[in-house]
Amino acid sequence: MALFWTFAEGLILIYMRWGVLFLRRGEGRQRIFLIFCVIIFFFLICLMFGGENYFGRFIDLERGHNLKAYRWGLWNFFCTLWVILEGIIMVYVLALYEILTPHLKKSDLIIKKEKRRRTRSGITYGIPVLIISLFSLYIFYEYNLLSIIDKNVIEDKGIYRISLFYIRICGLFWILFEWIVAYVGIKTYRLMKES
Amino acid sequence: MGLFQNIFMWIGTNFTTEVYMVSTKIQGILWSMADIVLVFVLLKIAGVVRIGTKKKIVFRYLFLWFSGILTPLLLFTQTGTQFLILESIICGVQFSILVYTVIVEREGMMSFVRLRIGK
Repeated sequence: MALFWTFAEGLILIYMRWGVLFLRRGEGRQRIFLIFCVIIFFFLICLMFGGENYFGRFIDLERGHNLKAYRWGLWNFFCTLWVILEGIIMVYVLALYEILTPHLKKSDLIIKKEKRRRTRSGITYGIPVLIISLFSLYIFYEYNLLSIIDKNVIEDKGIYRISLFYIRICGLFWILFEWIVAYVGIKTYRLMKES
Repeated sequence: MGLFQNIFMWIGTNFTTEVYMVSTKIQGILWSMADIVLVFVLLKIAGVVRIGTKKKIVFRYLFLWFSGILTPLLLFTQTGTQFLILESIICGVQFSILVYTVIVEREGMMSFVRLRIGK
């Protein structure tokens, strides 16, 4: 399921990126990006199915809470990944809206240039900021959880609850991003209808 | 222990399955509603693009309303598994409509935009 939803989100992201590239450059080729996505997805498949074997060489997963912590860590990693993908989709939707707005409003060339400049900076900074901040949150959360496990002051049930709580944090970001996309969608529809 | 580790210990004690289920249901309803609005708007946009060229979209709206009817049922799920199955059906239907629309209407949408942008 984790891989399926990653694939699904990735598919939407590729289409959104295609739209932005097409509107900006007049063509939407993204061969290098697609190769990059395939490589990442291949690594995710390896992580999902071979991760326990691989990391088991370095950490004794059978000892204490290690296996439980690893499995929850992996699941939370995928949750973080979905939120990141959704966030990047949101950035591209915002970019599409900014590219389209001046054309649909039929405003002058200066506004057009201004909008394009802003879109470029939105993608340039927005995506790295999203990726870095959400992965930092994940690492920070897992680090603190592992520190508690290391001190032997928590039971299995506690690990389970703390890990579930992380999913709810991801859920907040997910809802925020989805509603932003929905809101921008409504604005785009209104503009298209009026144009 | 540091501040965050104390907070984590508190979460480990107080974030019970009951609290988890309530928060999951609330979040599930919120993101399903966002999905319904999102897919509905996408279909509306596709409708604008289709004006005067193709038939109106019918079945995708029906599937979307079907997912809309299922959404409040999330509140009545008793276990995490029930919630997951129902949420998967709802999201699956919405996602299928979304992907199908993006693939099928892509050319029409681009032609519409191309006309306005002049590319």
